[in-house]
Amino acid sequence: MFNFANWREKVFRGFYWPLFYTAVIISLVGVAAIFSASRGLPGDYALKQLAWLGVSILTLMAVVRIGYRTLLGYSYAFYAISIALLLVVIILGDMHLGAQRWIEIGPFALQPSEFAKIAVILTLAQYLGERARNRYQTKRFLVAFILVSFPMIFILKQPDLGTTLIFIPILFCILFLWGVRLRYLVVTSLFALTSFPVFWALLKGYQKRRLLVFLNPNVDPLGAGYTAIQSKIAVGAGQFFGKGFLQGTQNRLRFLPEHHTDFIFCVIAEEWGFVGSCLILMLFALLFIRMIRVIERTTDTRARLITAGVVSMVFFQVVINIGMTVGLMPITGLPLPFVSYGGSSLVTMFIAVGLLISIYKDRSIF
Amino acid sequence: MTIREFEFRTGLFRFFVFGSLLCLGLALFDVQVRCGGEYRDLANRNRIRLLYLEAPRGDIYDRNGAVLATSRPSFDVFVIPEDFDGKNAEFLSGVLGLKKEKILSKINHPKDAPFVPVLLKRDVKKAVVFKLEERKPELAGVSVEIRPIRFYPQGTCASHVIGYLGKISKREYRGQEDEGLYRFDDWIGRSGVEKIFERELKGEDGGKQIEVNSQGRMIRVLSERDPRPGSDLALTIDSKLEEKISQIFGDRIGSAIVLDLETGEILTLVSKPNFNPNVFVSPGEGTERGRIFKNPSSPLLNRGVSTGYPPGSVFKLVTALSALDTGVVPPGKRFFCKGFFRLNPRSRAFQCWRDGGHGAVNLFEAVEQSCNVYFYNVGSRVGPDTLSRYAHELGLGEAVELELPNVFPGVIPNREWKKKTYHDAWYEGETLNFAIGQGYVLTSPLQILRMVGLIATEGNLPEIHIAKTGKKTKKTRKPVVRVESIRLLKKAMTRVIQTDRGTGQLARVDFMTMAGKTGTAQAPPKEPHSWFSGFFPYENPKYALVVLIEHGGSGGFYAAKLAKEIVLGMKETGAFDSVPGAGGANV
Repeated sequence: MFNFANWREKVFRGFYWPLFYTAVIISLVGVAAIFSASRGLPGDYALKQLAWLGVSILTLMAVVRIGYRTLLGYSYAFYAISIALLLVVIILGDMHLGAQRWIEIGPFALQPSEFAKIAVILTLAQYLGERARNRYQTKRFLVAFILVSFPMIFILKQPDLGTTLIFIPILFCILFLWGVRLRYLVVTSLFALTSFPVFWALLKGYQKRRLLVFLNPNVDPLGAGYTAIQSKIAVGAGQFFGKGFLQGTQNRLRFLPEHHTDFIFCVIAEEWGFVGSCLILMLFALLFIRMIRVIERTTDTRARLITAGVVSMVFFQVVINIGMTVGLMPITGLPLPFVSYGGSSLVTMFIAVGLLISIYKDRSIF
Repeated sequence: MTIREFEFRTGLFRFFVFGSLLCLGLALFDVQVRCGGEYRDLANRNRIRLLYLEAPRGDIYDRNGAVLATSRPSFDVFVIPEDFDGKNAEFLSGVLGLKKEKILSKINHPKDAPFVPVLLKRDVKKAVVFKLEERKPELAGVSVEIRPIRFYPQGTCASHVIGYLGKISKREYRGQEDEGLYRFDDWIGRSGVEKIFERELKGEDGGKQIEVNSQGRMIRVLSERDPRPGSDLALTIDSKLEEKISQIFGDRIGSAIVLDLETGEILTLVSKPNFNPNVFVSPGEGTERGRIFKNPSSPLLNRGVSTGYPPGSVFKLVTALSALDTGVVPPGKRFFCKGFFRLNPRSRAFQCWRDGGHGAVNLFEAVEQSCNVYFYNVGSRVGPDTLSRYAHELGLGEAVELELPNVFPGVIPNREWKKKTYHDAWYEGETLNFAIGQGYVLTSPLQILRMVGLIATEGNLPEIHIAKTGKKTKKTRKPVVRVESIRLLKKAMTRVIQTDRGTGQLARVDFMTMAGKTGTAQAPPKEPHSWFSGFFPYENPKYALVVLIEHGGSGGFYAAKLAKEIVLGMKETGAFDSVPGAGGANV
């Protein structure tokens, strides 16, 4: 029997409200921006995103109710499932022509690469957290590396370069806070630098172009080069106070592709100006402050590693996404967490927040 | 990790996170506040335009360098909606012959960006261009661009080999959006080598990002990439011979293919009815396109390659080979043909095509006169699985690896196949039908041609090609049969044409010895399909030919007669000039 009172007790006792509120507020800002960005497009994107926010919050509660310890117990199963889903995506992609990142289930498009991030964070936390750092460190390090490389290879094959690369900082941050010897990270970075030509050879022509455009806009004047300059124009045109809500023209004139997903920040920056951009940055800063607080409240190594993984996932996506709109980063196609349109991304972010709230609660029992 | 070290590491982590956010804030300050004015200006004037530089599609040549497909310039009228004055719609409507409402609805399409040029009309006449240029000062936002359009100078010649182009579909476009090879209104190969060599022929578009002034004139090029033109392609087809044979074939429905046995190159691939591929790229040919698509005899179907027919008596070559090679029926053994055959006294009578029967015939006479009863006897002795094995040895039931799309693999039944397909046992009567190429058997003319080619070359046939890709040519898989069996079969095949009892005698020519086999494949309720396939000269085989006339009647009569005309046509174009044994080099 479903016992509502019991359920409420289990979810909300010791709930970390400030973190929850911050996440919801950023998401609502996102809904407003999506509303502005998708005017004139068929399909009620803002309304759909609002519905997804509802789904996300319910998912978050479910995660809190189950608790991170139980979820950690299933981490290897989650890992296996997400690898299987990624394979399904690749098979479907072969059946359709070319790129495929979704599994379509009725009206929904599930993006397994988003959920894979959570699965990898849980798996790494479980594997490393259960093992002491002072013995067999080389082996631990290598296993962690291999665990991360499988989903990376499959996601790169989709092809989704941005999401592939996000796994690297996640791994590094988790290893760093696990206490890996620093020379491992240094050596790996050097190794990565020297193996860059191999990685480069694996990329498709247009992926190379997008990365090269960052250095030389002449490489792809009609594609990524154009997107790069137009997104910078959109952000800059916002000036200090912005053009006002729904007043952005770069967006209306459709100079930018994907303005409700990957380039949503351009819409915010153009319409709300520097003031608005800073507000978003501050909201994210507040989010990170509250997330990092969770690390300090727990003594469970696995919980710390989960938190490290979640913070680095959100943080690097924010930096890469916003950095790309102002020309600091190459255009790789990553959504802005909580803000960009997309159900899979939003649900994933709220699962991540749910894990942190569960960790926070768990501590408060003692 | 000690508590101190942990705190040190979280501290470093925190420093990194907030430090990066601060850097982002500074970058935003730089773009939005320090340089904001500049960007606002750029945004307000929308001074950046994109120009596409279309890569010309590669040309297609025949084996002698005659152009089969190329690009010609087309004058296309574009409008930039934001710069266009609605008052001019009337004038444009008159000049271009488009309805005013249609022009306005194209220009005001809400989904498109107002600075992206909209294509109003493709391929307008020069006179129209002059009229537009005269009024240029008033016609802001209207421009004429010269873009390549696909052109097939020889019209219908080899249309099934070349194929045709079509607009890229929404799904295909989305599938490659990341790669950006195609634009949403781009062309893509839909059949023939235009489809198979799409990547090579297409090339890669280039483009320019330019800054314009308030009159829309270019001030400077911001960035530019040159287009990479598509590669040219040479076919093995001889367009003169192709055209000649196409004329000889006339209005009949079917296919005729000529193969060079020394190189494995297809010299001619005629499939009728054919079509003019220009129709698919030229605007204003919509009704003709509709006619092609709706035509019940499907002109787009490559009858030589992409579909199958019962081979009828041509299949007796397989049955004969199985008799010779297994030794189950020695070549000298005679069976008596009284016009029909019964499996047992109570079974139904399987007819021979000749009512009175052929009398006692051995293998050579049976091939020569295409005696059904002889092959019923062979078939019932070797059984369906052996027949099937020899058919596969000769390449039937196996798709030909050719540089064309939709190659039909054919159907060669056996006991297992019947069980899987029909969930039923194999009946002995079906073996009899199988032995004379009726029943479940389906082959494409190209497969029959390859089979005859394998027989002619005694198994040493080069791989069949229709495009010169520069790759080293391999051999067609050599059949696992004894050479003596094939030699005896060849001997039998020459009697089909060279003796006065041969069913293919109408194909006989006076300047060389030919070998072949006819077929009349029953296709009730309509007339039977008419087959002929052969090779020549007999002593030193140079060419193989297959002719199929859909519902053409008797193979010995119609197809063989047509084959003779084709061989004479080949002689006219000089195909035998240096061929020993064909009134060529040794005369």
